[in-house]
Amino acid sequence: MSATEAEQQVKLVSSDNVEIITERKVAERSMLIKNMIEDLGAPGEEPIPIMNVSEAVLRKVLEWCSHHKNDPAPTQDDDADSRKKTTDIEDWDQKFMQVDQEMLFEIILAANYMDIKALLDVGCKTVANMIKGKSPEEIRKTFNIQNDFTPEEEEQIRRENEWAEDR
Amino acid sequence: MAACDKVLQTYELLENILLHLPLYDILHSQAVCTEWRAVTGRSRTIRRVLRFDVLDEETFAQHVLLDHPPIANGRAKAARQWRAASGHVMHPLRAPILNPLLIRAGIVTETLPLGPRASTVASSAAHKKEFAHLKDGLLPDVDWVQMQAFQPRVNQIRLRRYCSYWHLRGGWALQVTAENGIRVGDLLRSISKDSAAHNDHCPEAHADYETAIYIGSLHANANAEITGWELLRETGAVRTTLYTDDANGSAFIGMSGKQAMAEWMARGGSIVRD
Repeated sequence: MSATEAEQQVKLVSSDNVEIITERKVAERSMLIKNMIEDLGAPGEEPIPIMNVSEAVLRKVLEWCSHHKNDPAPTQDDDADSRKKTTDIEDWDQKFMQVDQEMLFEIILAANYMDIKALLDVGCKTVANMIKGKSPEEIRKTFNIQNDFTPEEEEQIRRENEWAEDR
Repeated sequence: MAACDKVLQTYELLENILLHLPLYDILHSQAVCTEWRAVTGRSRTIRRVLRFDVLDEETFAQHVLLDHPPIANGRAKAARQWRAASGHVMHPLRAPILNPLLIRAGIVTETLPLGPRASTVASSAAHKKEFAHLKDGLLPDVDWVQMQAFQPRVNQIRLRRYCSYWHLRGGWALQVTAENGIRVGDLLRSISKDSAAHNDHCPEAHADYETAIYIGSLHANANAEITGWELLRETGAVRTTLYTDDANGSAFIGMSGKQAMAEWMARGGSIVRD
């Protein structure tokens, strides 16, 4: 992508039909959009529909893309030591993810749909941090999950895991 | 449907989330609901991380390490510690590592990557209580007992028991072999058996004596010989580990802890405290 291309503006349309104009470089953090621009050619003229993402979520996602627009593309790094720890989340990302639970999951869905792997990972890590150290019952409560085990199944799971219980 | 439900009911997304958790939390997440249980049971990647699948060195390096940088990180760190302690260079991707759940449960008190030199010490005080409920033949199909004890798999280990006063017996007490990798259950059962067999000889009831099981590894494929002794002594909270080579190690057999320590220091040996 040349410098002029990067500065080009592209027009996105959210699921609730709101037009958002942004830099091409920002939008192309999304592989979905990048591929669409390549397929369509002539960016900036045709608006790009982002069918599954509402305006509020799309703006949030683009905020992330804008902050990370200059990140290097992920590379396969052979040196294990230089890799980042999974549980580490950058300060900026951590702040960015301080949203209500519904928005957090909306962001994950959008990142998945729009194919933004780094954002998807940040979202999943954030949810993982909410799970960490919680008992199954606390996890169910946090995410409003129904306990659908039969008493027999539950007894079996309890037996399997009792050895690993916290002490 | 709320976004939360949509995410948690999408197989790939739930898998992605769970993979960011420590081993213990992944294991625990099976108990949330049938869907979560299905994901931990079915996902190849999670099964690998949870060590239910048998992995050779090649597969382990290719799949688990590349998919999961924290594991690679942990191994590199362990290899560095090992290097610092032993002066031996070990390739971080080649050294089998003990299942961390064993450490978390207090069954194993210290671990270094298994290599050509013997390396891991397990406390037998903890294990008695921990798996008193283990009974041969009554193990459920998919649970932690089925986890590989080492990753990548190790097909043969040698167990040996000693007292804190280092009445090291000659030779290895027990050899454990499992063609498709030794699983946690194999390891724990062997330790139990070994303990039972030696109760007469080791005055465990005596408070001054602590016992430990000493695990030495033989690589799955390598024909590496155990050439060293690792001596461990617990005094309150301070654990002291001596690393010696084979020739020196055999010289300590039969000595008391104090004698061996003095002897070791006199030889200019190093001591690692943690």
